[in-house]
Amino acid sequence: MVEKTIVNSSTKEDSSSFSFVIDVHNLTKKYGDFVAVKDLTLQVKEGEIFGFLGHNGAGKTTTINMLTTLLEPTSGSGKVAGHDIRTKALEVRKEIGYLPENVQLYDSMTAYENLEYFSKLSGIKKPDTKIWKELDFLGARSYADQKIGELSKGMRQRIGIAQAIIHEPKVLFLDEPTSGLDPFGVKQLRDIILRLNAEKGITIFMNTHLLQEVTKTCSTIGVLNHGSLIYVDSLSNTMKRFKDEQSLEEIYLTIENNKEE
Amino acid sequence: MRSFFIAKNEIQHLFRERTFFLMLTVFILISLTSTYIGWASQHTVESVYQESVITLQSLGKTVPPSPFSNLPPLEIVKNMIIYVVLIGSLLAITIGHSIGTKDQRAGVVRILFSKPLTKKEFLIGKALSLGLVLFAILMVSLIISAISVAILSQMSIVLLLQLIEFYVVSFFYMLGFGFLGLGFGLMKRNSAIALLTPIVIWVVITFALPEMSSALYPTSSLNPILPQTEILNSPVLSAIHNVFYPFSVSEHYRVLSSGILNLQETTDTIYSNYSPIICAFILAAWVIITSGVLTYSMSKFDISRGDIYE
Repeated sequence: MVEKTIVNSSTKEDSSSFSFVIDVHNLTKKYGDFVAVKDLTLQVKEGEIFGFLGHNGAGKTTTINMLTTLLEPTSGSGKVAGHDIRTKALEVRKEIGYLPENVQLYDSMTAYENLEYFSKLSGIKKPDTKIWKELDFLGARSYADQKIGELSKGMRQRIGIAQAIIHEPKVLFLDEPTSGLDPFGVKQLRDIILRLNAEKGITIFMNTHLLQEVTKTCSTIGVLNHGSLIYVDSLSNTMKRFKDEQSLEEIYLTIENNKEE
Repeated sequence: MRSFFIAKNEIQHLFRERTFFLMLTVFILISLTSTYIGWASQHTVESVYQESVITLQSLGKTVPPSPFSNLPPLEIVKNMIIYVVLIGSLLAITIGHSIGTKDQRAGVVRILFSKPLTKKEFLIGKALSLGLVLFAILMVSLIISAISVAILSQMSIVLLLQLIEFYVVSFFYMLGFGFLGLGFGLMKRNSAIALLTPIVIWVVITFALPEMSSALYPTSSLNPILPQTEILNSPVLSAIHNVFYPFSVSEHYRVLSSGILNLQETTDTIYSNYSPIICAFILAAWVIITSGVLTYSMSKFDISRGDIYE
């Protein structure tokens, strides 16, 4: 676990010498007059599993879209894996993996064919060995020849993760990865995320609503409220600071209520 | 290299969805229909002529020359010109639309562009797949036409080269419509609008512009073969003709194709007042403009799009 002080948009960032794989300053995204993300300043250290929390419409997906270079920020700056998200988008994409909410792949292609296609787009010339390796890692080898349209939600999620990690990224972005999964699927996904972090050293940035999963998975959490980052700290510090609260859910609600006040 | 993978993926997808085979079947049928109708009409008139020769000779009358004695051998494929204008361009729009909307329908756009893939590579891959599919379909049609002509009429190297030249021109004509289908498929979030817009453009180019540019010659709308008669002499209609004729791409395609196939009747028609070289330039401009539309569409393509295509 990495120690980090509480940060909101008005305080100074931590000046430790750790390597930041995500380092953004005053990142803002506006759609006309609507501000989706406002002055986001955030650092995520290498090796962390960062849980990004927030209400519906808080700006979590917009934030991930900016960090993965899918969306141009209105203002601000940022680096992911050492590359500028505005000027070095292709370099950023070589170092990241991304799994959007509600994983969609090509239904008429098999799991293997999907992975082969995305591998080649990632720059892997002969991906055969890597594909089988990742399928084995994710326990999906036996599903390789099945069409995506025939797979369960949980298995599609695994194939989705496979395409995101096959090129050995430094950072993996997961947008609501547990969305639509049953409890068993959620547990399996949690195990995969922990193994990715422990065995492959991948930093994970995860949007999620499932607070009980955050307590079991994440090392650091951040809370976004109406586009503004109102809280960031390690999970352990958070639990100590809010020791009167019985669960992360209550802590989260307290943080949100304090912001409202 | 990524463009190549994109193109390969598109073509595999068209094969799986059987879109390619459906289009190919349609083109095979129209190729066969074209040469058969061309041959049948000649054969029918020739038969009538032969019977009339016998009758006239028995009456000791002078026998007029056969109306088909000086017809070019490729006369029997003349209907392919109309079929390309009416059907081929629509098929090209359909293929382009399918290619343009595939990733959005699958909901994979964000995953695609989370890879080190530029919009330019993506677009080149899409356009390449469209071009290759149209090329393959027209190549099969060319082979069928060549064999049909060889069987029903005659074939030589010169005639084969003329046929190839005709199909090259047809390819570029159809490619423009394919670009429109692809471009609007990428640009528009609503699938109905994405397909309807290029179809409306097709209607304007195929029907409206020829009507307005051939306003002086109302019988000339679709058939490039029959000689035209100027039945009205109006400065207003002349002005309308002069304004719209340069933009009537389908007519220029027909004039150019007819010239390539050496269809003598068309070169004598009085409404074709552009030379084949100018027609070729206008066709080239058509391809350039539609590729410009395609390039513009990519600038409007939202790679953060997550929802399944409407």
